[in-house]
Amino acid sequence: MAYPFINPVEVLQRRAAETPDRLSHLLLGATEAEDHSLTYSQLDAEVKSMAAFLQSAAEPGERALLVYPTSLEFIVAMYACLYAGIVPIPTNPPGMNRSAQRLEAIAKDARARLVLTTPEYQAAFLAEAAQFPDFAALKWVTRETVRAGGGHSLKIPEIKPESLAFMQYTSGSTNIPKGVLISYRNFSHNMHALHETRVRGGEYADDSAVLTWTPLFHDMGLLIGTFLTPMDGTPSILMPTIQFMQNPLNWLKAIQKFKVTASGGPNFAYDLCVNKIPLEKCEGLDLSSWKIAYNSAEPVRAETQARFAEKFAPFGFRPEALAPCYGMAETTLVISFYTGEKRTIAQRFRRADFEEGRLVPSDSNDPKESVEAVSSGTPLADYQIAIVHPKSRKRCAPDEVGEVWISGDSVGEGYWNRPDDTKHTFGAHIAGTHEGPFLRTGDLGFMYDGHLYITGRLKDLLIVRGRNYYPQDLEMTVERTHPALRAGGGAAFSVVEDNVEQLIVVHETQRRELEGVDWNEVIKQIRANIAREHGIRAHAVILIRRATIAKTSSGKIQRSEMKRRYLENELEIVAEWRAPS
Amino acid sequence: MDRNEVLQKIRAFTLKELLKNLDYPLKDDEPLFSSGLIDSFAMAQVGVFIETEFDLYIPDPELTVENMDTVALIADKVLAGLAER
Repeated sequence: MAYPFINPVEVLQRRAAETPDRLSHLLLGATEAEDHSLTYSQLDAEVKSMAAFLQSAAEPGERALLVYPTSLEFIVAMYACLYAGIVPIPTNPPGMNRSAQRLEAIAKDARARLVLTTPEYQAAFLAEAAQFPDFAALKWVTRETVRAGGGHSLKIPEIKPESLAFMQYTSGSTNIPKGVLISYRNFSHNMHALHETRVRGGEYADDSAVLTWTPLFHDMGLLIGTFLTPMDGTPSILMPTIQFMQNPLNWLKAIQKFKVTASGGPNFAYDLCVNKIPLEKCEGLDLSSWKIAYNSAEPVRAETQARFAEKFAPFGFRPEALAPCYGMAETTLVISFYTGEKRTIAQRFRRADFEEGRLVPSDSNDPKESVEAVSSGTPLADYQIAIVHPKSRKRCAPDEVGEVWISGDSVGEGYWNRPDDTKHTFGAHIAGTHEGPFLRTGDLGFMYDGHLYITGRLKDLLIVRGRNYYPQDLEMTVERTHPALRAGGGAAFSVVEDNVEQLIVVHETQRRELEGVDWNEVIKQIRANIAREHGIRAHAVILIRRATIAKTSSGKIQRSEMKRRYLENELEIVAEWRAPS
Repeated sequence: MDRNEVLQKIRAFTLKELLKNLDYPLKDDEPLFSSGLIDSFAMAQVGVFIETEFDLYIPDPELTVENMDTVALIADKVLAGLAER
């Protein structure tokens, strides 16, 4: 694919010059009166002011941590870094019970010079300054600092395709954060591919409007919420994540109000809309403007999509809008995407073969006999996808499941300051050939009928008695057993006991449902369901207190951490069963 | 619990949960797994059934086709386990 060089600095400046009074970004407040917005010229002016200050505070190429809630300030800060030639590192602001530990780890890893944040966050951090002296010692910049800083001149640097645009830290453990280097070339390739997708999906038009409720510091929020819309001069509407989480109907109502054409989220967001929005409250809802409803989770569930389409079709929602997609920080944003299909593209395979990594299509609907895999889309543009045996690094046969390897200009330049990890992850070659370099995604999957299917994380794969189990399948079996088991609150992993790999399942309980529940009965049922659906006995079933399961900053279950807690007896146990030794 | 009771429970479970056919003319000495009548996948279900019905845990090395191939063999295993208690 030939793609243009997209320089977001030039894009914004052109907007400010050609369409200065058009709405650029709109932040939704708790009430309409509290909405805030910036036109292109307003945004450009604020960006220039901050960028000039940043240039006086740091050298070109130095790194700045950005710590903001969903806000216009974040948008200003991101652009200001690019205008100033500073490398922005957007990060997750710590919540009430999360400390600055991860931020400090990132700042140290990146050797950051600046922290760009709000005065409120700054005050909160400085209260903890004694615990994080290195972090406190960085140069802190807020809107007040900029205002008080006086006038400076700005010299926008020359930006080339190979110039570093920003860094995205992957959500891993706190101790070893890894910064993915994204160049302007990577940015251009991925943004152009997204643009092409919008055109193909019929969503790219004068009346386009994109709404983002997911956090802006990574992923869809960053690329789509911040940078995509100035490219075509249509508005980006930003909804603080909490507005969605408190009431998913807010999302749908905002789509109606602003005639949003593209918006999406992880699979659980669609589940929430199905399960938590009463039908009576949907009266008068009109979702007919929605042309692309992207579903970016691991995994996309066909059932979720079908139920969402069914529930909201009477309110103008078009099933063809559903757009499963897949990507990661290491590939800027998107790897694969599809839209425009009336049904979710999925395929059933014989279970026994699937668990041995072989694809044999099946007609059976019996979960004992077959598993369903759901497509994550067709690979974008000119990506090369290779399905490879993770150990031998040989290409898999077309009917084999293997690790997904990617090559293409959206693949990032590597990890900051980690040459070994970079070589291992970004510099892979097919065994015995010069084919590559490829990015090893760490995800297992396969290509089928032109679509990419992701089956799970390589490192989470459970191999018990020679068969492969995907933890999310086991977790779903447990979850479905009883309403007192919290949705999305399970972890399945394996431990070695007496030299044998054994399956352990841990699951959160719901506080509300605790009255009169016979946990022993529930556990018996869990064991029976796992045996029946997966042909394996759980060696232990541990039910834990609500909200005590470990999750990453983007809401994914940390199975390895749950395994550690199991082994160290750190689980908050409500009820349990363990196989006698 | 006597042998007949144990046999009865195992028979009922096999017909209902494994064969999914209450009318199947199941004999107590009929090979279930080695004949291909039931997928070895279902061995785990047998194990969990024995745990929940008889409160008896059969360790993995003993949960084999050799030990569990017929209703009678399963019953023998269960009775042996119960006797050890």
